[in-house]
Order: sequence, then C-alpha cells, then structure tokens
Amino acid sequence: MIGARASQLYRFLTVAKIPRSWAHVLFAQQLAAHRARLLIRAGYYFPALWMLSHTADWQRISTPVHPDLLWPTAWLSFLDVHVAGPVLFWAAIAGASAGAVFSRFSSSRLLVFVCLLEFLSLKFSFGKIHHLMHAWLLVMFVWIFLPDGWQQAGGQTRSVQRRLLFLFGSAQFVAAMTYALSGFGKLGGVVYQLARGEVTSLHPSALARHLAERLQQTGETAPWGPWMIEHGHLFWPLMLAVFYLQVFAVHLAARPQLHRLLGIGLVGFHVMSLLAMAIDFTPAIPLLVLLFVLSPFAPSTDGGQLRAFSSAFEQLPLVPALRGIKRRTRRSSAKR
Amino acid sequence: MKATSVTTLGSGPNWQAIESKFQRIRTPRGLASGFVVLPLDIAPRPNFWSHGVKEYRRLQACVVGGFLVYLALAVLAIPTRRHEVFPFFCWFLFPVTPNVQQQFVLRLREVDGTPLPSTPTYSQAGDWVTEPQSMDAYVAIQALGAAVTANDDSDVSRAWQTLCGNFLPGPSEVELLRVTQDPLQTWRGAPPLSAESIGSFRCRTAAAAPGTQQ
Repeated sequence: MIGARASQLYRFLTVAKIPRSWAHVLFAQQLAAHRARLLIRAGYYFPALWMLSHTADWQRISTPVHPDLLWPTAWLSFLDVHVAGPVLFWAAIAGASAGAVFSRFSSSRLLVFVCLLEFLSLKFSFGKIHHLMHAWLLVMFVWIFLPDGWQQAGGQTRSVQRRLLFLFGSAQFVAAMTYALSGFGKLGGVVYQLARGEVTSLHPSALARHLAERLQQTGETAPWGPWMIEHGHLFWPLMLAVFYLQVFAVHLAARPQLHRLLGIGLVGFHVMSLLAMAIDFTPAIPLLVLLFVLSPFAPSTDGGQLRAFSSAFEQLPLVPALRGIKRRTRRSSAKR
Repeated sequence: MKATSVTTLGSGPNWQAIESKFQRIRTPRGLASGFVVLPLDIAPRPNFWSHGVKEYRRLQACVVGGFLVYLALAVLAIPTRRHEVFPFFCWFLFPVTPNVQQQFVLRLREVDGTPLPSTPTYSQAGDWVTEPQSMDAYVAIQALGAAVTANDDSDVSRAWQTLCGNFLPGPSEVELLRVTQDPLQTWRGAPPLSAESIGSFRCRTAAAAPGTQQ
C-alpha cells in the first residue's frame, strides 16, 4: 500500500515539473517513516518479552531477603517488601505487555517506560546494577514523545513523519551515546595508565588481561575465554577495533551510510564478549539490529551489499587520512 | 557539502538552493557543524513547505535538553557509593587495563556449625552456596572489602547485610581477605603476590532462594 502511494506521489510530482530531487526526498521521507513505524512497533514488544523471560526472579523477591532498594522502588520500604515486591514485579510485566500492544497511545508508552524502570530497579536491588537494559530504557523514554498518529500506515502527515523520524534518530543517538561514553572512558583510562606507567589498552596483552581478570572474578566459564587468553596477542586488534567503534559511535550514528557497519560491528562485539568473557549483554543486540542494522535512514544497497559495505568502509573516520598517508609514502618512495 | 546558491529574480523558486538543502538532509554534516545538533540532523528538518515547525523545534530542544541532563547526572553520580544513580550511568565500562591490583576474597570457614576443611573461596563453594558465580555476590564482597578498608561502620553494616541476607548459607562464618595479584599471572598459575586477612564475620540468617541474575 505504501509503495503504491509513494509511486503515485512520485508520478504526480514528476508530472507537475517538480524537480526529481524534491520528489525523491518526499518519497525517501515517506519510506523511512514507514520503516521506522514498523521498527518502533516491533521494538515495543522486546522489553515485555525480556521481562517475561525473567519471571523466575520473583522467587528471590518473595523469599526473606535484604534488598538494597534503588530509588525508583524505595517506596517499597514503607510496605512489606516480600508482599509488595512480587505484586510490583507481576504488575510491571503486565503493564509493559499491555503497553506494547497499545503503543499508539502516549499513555501506554509512558506505562511501558515506568514498568521497565520499576522492574529493573527491583531486579537490580540485590548488589550490582547491571546495564544490559539501560539503553532500552533510554530509548523507551525517548519514544514516549512520538506524535499522535505515528502508527497510521500511509496516513501520516509530513509533519508527523518528520517528528517520527526525528525521534527514531534521537533513539539512535541515545544508543550510540552509551557506546561513545564507554569509548571515551577507555580513552581516559589509557591516558591515566600511561601517566602511571602501567600497561594500557594499547598493549598487546591488554585483551588477555581483561579476560583473565573477568573470568577469575566469579570463576565463571566462557567457551572461548581460556583459548583467547592464550592467544591474546592475536585477538588484541579486535579490541582496538571495538575501541575505535565506541569512540566514534556518535559520529557514525550521524551518517546513515555507516549505520549498518556500526550496527554489525557492535553486535559482533556483544557476541564476542559473551563467548570470551561470559558477559551477557544480549538484549543490546536486538536494539542494535532495530536501530542500526535495519536503519530506515541507511541508503538502499540495491542488492550490492558487499559494494555498499566497502564504500561505507572508505567513509569511516580516519580511513581516508590513513589512505592519504599510505599514498604519500608510496609517492615519496617512488621518487627516491 | 557546501551549498552553492544562484540568485534568480522573478524566475520562480530557486531550485538549486532547494536541492542543496535536501542534499544536506541525505548526507548529514560532519562533527564541525556542532556536536549536539549533529545527530538530530539525520531526520529531515522543517523547510518552507513544512507545518508544525514550532512543535518540531520544541521537541528538538526537549530531546537535546534531556541528553544534557542525562550526561550531567551521570557524571555527578560517579562519586556516589554505587558510582551511579540508576538509571543515570557514565558508561565507563572496563576503562582501565588490569595490572597488579587488589581484590577482596571471601573464604567460608564454617557452615551450620561444621568447620569446612578446605575453606573454599565463595566462587569455589558450590556445595554450600546457591550462586557461587553470581556477579551480584562478587560486587557485594568487593563493597564489603572497600568498606572495611575505609573503616566505615555504616557501609560495613550495609554491605554485610546484603551479603549475608542474600548470598551466604544460613549460620556460617567467613573470612575476608585482601589479595594483591596480577590477573594474567594468576591465571597462568602463579600464586598471588600477597594475601592478608582483614576480618571475620558470622552470618546468622539464611540466604534467599537462587534467582537468575545476569
């Protein structure tokens, strides 16, 4: 339906002697809004599904425990936490599920955000605050502000399309910002450790050190961990690649032609950290796929995925500069 | 991409200028154009045919303001006990490469009044504790060690309550050790550089049933 409408619009505009670029932009906006709409609708189901997959946790809350309640659930301390905790737990799951079904209403989207906030707060009140769902929480917050009518297929006005795309782009920025902050943290760590004369991330043993420390913390086993520690020097360039992707995450998120590269790179990073370090950040994978791998802003590859990837690779930050250095070195050696 | 506009008087709209405007939509500008506004330029921006420009600008200001508030709170939360105020987090994950470092290790000495001959560490005590490889338990042990080192009684009490109430088997006695080691050398079989006992604790309550914390 959307395709037929878009081609009608395109014909009308070309017949009306409106320049091709203008029609192209309108068509691109409509198509991108259509894709963003589907992605957001699908995205709203993930938090509810994730919460449902953690229903076993209610036993922990309902038995005599000593939670160190985080502020969003601090009000539970005025009640009997062993009774009110499980009630909140199940209410949050029910609320997020209902909110996902009725995500066209802003009140439902607010409900999903609040339910996820309360659920995570309750779940992480027992020691460590895990960060695997933080990016989802931030994205759910941004999407509360979706305009009325964003879910109507083909019936959106240009203004609604624009606000929908803006909020999709903002969600991409939020997700990229979390990685960029992590990258800048590592950059600061390198400077700090260089000043102290310690081994930094720029040393080939850095990956092996990270893996060894992580696996010894809890005695957990990771399928590839021991092998990667022994061959740490071989895999260290991958760590540098992740470092690079994280530092430039916001820069890449602002370039639609690089969205797929960023998404696939970060998905690979999470898969590797699960296999090598037993760090389960799997909820971030569907978010990265929704926001970047299937980005509505990414240009069509027209079947030439490999060509698109190589062209995107050429546009990565620092790559043209490195090529320039290589060319100049070649020229100067040829002159000699 | 630099826009090149041609001024035409009385000959209809300036299509070249319009085209360059749309070109900018498809290929967002680089970092030099402004760090904060940059990511938001991905979406098509209002133009002279648009409606609702005011709402769009208001939305843009709200989102940019929200980002800045998040960043400010994430940075302000670093000095707090947990180094974050949920859900405001600075995202400094694995910022430094492990070198020779101190860690706190909990050894189980006695469970239900029976002394344990091997005095296993928490992560090796799978026969007595329900979640030996829990990251939550590891963080609680480190928090207890940090509180004991800092001599902060209220923090020691809070950390011990979390550890005893949630992770330790009921009536038990444990010993807290401060271990200095190079993680890579320890992984390869070298003994820790030093290990000293910094306290003993007795737990009188039973821990909760296991959850599925990740």
